[in-house]
Amino acid sequence: MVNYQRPAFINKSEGFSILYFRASGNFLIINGALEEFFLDSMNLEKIDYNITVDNLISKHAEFKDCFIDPKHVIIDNNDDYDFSSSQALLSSQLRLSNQLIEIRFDLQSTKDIFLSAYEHLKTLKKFTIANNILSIVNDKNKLYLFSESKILSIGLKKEYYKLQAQFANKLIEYYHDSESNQWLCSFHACAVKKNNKTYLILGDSGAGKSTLTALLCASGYRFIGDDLILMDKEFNIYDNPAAISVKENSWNIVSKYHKEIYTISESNRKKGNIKMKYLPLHLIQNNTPKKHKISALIWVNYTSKLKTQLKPLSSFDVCSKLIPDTWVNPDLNYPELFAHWLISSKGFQLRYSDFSSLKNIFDRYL
Amino acid sequence: MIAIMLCTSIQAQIPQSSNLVGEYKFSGRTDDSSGNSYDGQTNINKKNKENISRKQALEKMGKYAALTALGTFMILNPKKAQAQSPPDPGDNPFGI
Repeated sequence: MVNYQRPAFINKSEGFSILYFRASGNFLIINGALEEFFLDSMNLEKIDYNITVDNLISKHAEFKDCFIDPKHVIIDNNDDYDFSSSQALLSSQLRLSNQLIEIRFDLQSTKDIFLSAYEHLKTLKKFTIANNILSIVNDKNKLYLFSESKILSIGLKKEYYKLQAQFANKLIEYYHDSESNQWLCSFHACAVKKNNKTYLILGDSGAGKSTLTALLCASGYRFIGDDLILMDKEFNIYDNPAAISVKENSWNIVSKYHKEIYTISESNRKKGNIKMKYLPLHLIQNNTPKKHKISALIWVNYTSKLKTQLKPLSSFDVCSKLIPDTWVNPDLNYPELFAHWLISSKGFQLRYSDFSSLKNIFDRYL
Repeated sequence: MIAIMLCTSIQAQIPQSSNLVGEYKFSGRTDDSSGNSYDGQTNINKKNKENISRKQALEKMGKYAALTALGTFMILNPKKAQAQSPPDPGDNPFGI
């Protein structure tokens, strides 16, 4: 008989429970009889547990996914690559709060992809001694990220956005003077703050997260980050020093609130055929690096001609919407900490058709 | 369903005398009859976990077996790696 792994933990919430299976890295949300079974499962004899799971899988084959190690090695850091600093001759120097960082590249195209959002951090004068040196070099179908001559991460070129996240992690760590922070999770989201309330803005690609964030930040909201938000095990999210990306089709609306957009040059980095500008909101707002506690998660969705509407989400909906779009650190008890934080988080669905009604809702109800 | 599960046989490996480490005859004694002197000890307080049959287990688990179809469940797979926004369609900066 197959020996099925028991859940690493079961976290009971109102009306459902959330479980985590370490081998597969999957979360499971359940209620009803299934919840009853898994709540009992910690005390069941092995044979009872295995037979019942067998039975469950025979009825719902997808349950097997909870128990299988997917063996997904996304970034293999055991790759051997002999790095020589002479390979990365294109260099840029950045100031990240108190740290002077040199970034080196072997190709201009790679530099455009990785550095566009950080151009505003370039130092006016060249420095001779850097606190840290990062290098990004190409080799066949892979990209390598080095700190000095040590490999930090390796990624496939076709998945360059994963290495971009590793690069962003390092810059956030330098910005906050916190070396090799053990992140609990990372969100594909934007974040803003007002009156001591911090909002994580979520939504599908193209939902207008960045544009909305840029507009809110022109209306009294403090910018925290765009695209990648990191949270630590004390549930703090960190300012991301990258500039916010504004696509060409949003330049007009953003320029009504941020006149700076006219003076910012178009980036060398394009998204397909779409031109981009990077608006350095931390610089514009004169922000210093800070940590924040999230007050609410808000899924935004632009819908033309429909009335702007704010709808609270159930805890079940919050879990089911957030988990598939989030990286959760699988180490230690981090998945459990994450689940604990998640089931106590407030979530809202915000449908909007124009910015002024949206801002009104943000100010009045959130 | 229960019939299917009961029909599932477990294929046990038959030990060979050449690789036998110890032999116990379940005669109420715990002496090693293979001659290798791996004599056991009886622990009368130990709960016998192997005593339950598959049929008994299924009966015991019947309440779950009958009700599983009625519960709501959602398997959620978080991202396996951190990532920034993936490229839009047509965006292929490395030409791969």
